Amino acid sequence: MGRIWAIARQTIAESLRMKIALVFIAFILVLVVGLPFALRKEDSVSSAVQTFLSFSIGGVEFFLSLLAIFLSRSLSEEVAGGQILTLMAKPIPRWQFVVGKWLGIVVLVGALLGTSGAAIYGTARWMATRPPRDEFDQLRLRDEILTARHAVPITPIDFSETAERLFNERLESGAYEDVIEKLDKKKEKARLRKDAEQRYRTLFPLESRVFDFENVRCDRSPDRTIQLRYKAEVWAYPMDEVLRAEWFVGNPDLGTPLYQLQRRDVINRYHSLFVPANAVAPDRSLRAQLYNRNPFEGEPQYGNTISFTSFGDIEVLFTVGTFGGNLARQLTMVMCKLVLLAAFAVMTVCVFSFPVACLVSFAFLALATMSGFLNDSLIHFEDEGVYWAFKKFAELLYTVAFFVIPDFSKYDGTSMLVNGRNVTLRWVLTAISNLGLGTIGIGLAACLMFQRREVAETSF
Amino acid sequence: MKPTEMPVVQTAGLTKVFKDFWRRDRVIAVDSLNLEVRRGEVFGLLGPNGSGKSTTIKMLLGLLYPTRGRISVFGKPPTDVAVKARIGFLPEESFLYRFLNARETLDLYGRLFEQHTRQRRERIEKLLDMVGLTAEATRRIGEYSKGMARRIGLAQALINDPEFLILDEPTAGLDPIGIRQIKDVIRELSRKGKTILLSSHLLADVEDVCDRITILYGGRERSTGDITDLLSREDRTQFITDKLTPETVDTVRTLLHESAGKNILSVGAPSDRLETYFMQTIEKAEKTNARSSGARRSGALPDFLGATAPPNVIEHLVSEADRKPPPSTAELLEIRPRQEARSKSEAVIEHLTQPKPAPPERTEAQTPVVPEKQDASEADRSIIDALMQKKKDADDG
Repeated sequence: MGRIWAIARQTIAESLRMKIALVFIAFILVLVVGLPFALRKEDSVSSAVQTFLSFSIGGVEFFLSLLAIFLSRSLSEEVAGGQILTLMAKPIPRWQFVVGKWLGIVVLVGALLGTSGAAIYGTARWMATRPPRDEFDQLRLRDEILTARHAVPITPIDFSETAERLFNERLESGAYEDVIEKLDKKKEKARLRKDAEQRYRTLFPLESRVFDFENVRCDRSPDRTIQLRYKAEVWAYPMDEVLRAEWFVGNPDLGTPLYQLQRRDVINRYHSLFVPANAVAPDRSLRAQLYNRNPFEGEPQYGNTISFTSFGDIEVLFTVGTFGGNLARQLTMVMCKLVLLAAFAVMTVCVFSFPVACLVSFAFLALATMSGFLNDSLIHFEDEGVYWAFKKFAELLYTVAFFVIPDFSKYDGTSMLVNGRNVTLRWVLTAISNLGLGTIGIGLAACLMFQRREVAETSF
Repeated sequence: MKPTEMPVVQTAGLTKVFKDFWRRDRVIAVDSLNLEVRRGEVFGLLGPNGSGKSTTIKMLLGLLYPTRGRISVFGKPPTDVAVKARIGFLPEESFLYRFLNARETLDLYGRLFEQHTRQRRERIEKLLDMVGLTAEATRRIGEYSKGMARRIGLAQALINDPEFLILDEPTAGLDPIGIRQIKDVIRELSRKGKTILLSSHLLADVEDVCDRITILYGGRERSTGDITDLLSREDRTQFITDKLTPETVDTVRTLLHESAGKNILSVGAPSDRLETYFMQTIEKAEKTNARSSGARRSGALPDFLGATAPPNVIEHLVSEADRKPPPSTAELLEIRPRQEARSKSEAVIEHLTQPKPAPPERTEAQTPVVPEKQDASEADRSIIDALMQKKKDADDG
């Protein structure tokens, strides 16, 4: 360990004294400290904080990724500059040297990430002390951004019984008589089930619908709130962009108060209702009922039909942690990515000279970050005529490349964090184990490559 | 130096072929080299530029892998990490970190040997003192002159008190003080029982310190042997005496001619070596405390070096010299050869009195008669020094 640490120390000293790290520290400083001042003053505090969090976390991750790649330069520089000759003549196993280099990068990048994280936290808290635009702004900031909320989807409803009943009714009424021989019962029942589900998601005028949630494990004290978040569409004639309806949240049968909320919402956008947490029943269930009726006195009743595109458009959110904890978990995932990237960068300099290694590492970073996007674009790529062969080739390349390259977007909790969603510990642990395994694999490959390398040969 | 012991380095048919991008043979750098470096000797690897000296050394250290052939260092393959704990290496150029200062550099290398902090710090200070850079120890190496960097290179090679020291072109880029100092260090370490492999194309340096040499050319071994055997002129005899009058010279000439039928080929005052003269000049300048931002004249070899080596006859002489309060390198040099010189010069005289085969007649008056024999020449120098001193005393008086 002494030897590994000696190499790591040396790498850190080099990056600081050769001012590589300092440049990045300056970038990060400007980003974290300067960004709040660059945001428009007329914006609400909540959206300013959201913008700040999103850009600062993304920016810090980006700069530190570049730094991790640039710091690996140290090893190739030693090979090119001959320092490796003196080092490798000392009793340090090759693998310890490689691990030492990696550790140096990881420690420095980790320290910078930790510092940036603290700065981001402090700045976000400081921004939150600005006078809010209105009460809603303040509430949103507290309960939707600077928090860690867990989301519960509505309890799935089984429509197969309904489908079965409908099927039997239609069978009895003779609706299938003409096609009875060719009728695929299974398919027909599936269709009926889908219809029933869609029907459930649709509220005709003056209709009401119950949505149940389970496992709402929140603090049920009345001064806390839970949020009902939804996005709805409205079918109306003439065209209308506004949803007017009434929510009833709570289940008096289970001894909770019933809260009545009158809404006038823009359609096709997410809205959050703040409901006191004692609407949740002691068995941790929550009932919300939507009534398609204009609750506002003196306004006409419109013949609007409300519909939800999917059941995923309705959820209940409640606080399970703090913003600080959430930020720490998100940054832990960022660190996992940086650790893996550092291992990859060290591996490339074990084989190539720095310019080549640098390009390879950048390509790796780009592919790992854009993996999801690339996959999407590949799916939507035209596969007619001459493009077919190209698409097949690209698919093959993609399959091979992403067998090796991890998908970093799977471990990105920025959007969760920005929306005050809980970055779960389970997610973080998955990132640690998956990216950790990747790091070990890459590290082993790096050690093996460096073991075989003739360090006095500089013609690479 | 027991020849029966296992050699420190042994290679058999060692060959290194550098390949190009397409794996085609590009150049044969070392070709079927059989090398043997014995314990306790100073071994010189000689050859012009590009003759394969550095490549051989890099293979001995596992920095390059041989294409064919075998290497053993202390009976193990050179990639063995444990072996490297017993080796000190000074590469052909001082490849050091520009952004570290001298002390940090030595600290880094000390850490690679997993030395305890206290031992490491102690050794670093002693080594800095030895190479005369204590005053410059906090300057970054990037600001150092080539020679100063070379001194740090030497210090890092000694930080583990190595049993086997590999010096690739150790005197390259050094000023005469540095060269003299490196040679002193080599000689002193050799006395302390260290094995030293030294590569150079500066023949004077090799000649001064090496016991055995191998001459390489085009990657092949061209000649190997004891430097004394290779260089001794068995057909010549040299006298050095106090200044003689022309009459006495004539008498000797006649005597020689009559008694042995030999002619004297050259007679004259022996000239001082430029190195000796240079060292004296610098010593004088230092006594007047002249300012210099460069390396200082260095201190004694640190006591940790060879502390565990078995004592030998010459060590006794060295330790005697060490006992005096801070002896400068020059002083050490003055003392040692003189003490040795007595016996050496006696040997020379004995040698002279032995009947010798008749040398072939020579007419060129300028032919040097000095036997190019290492031990003898060292003895001669001390005699010269003594004579010079006497002459000076006489002049001063």
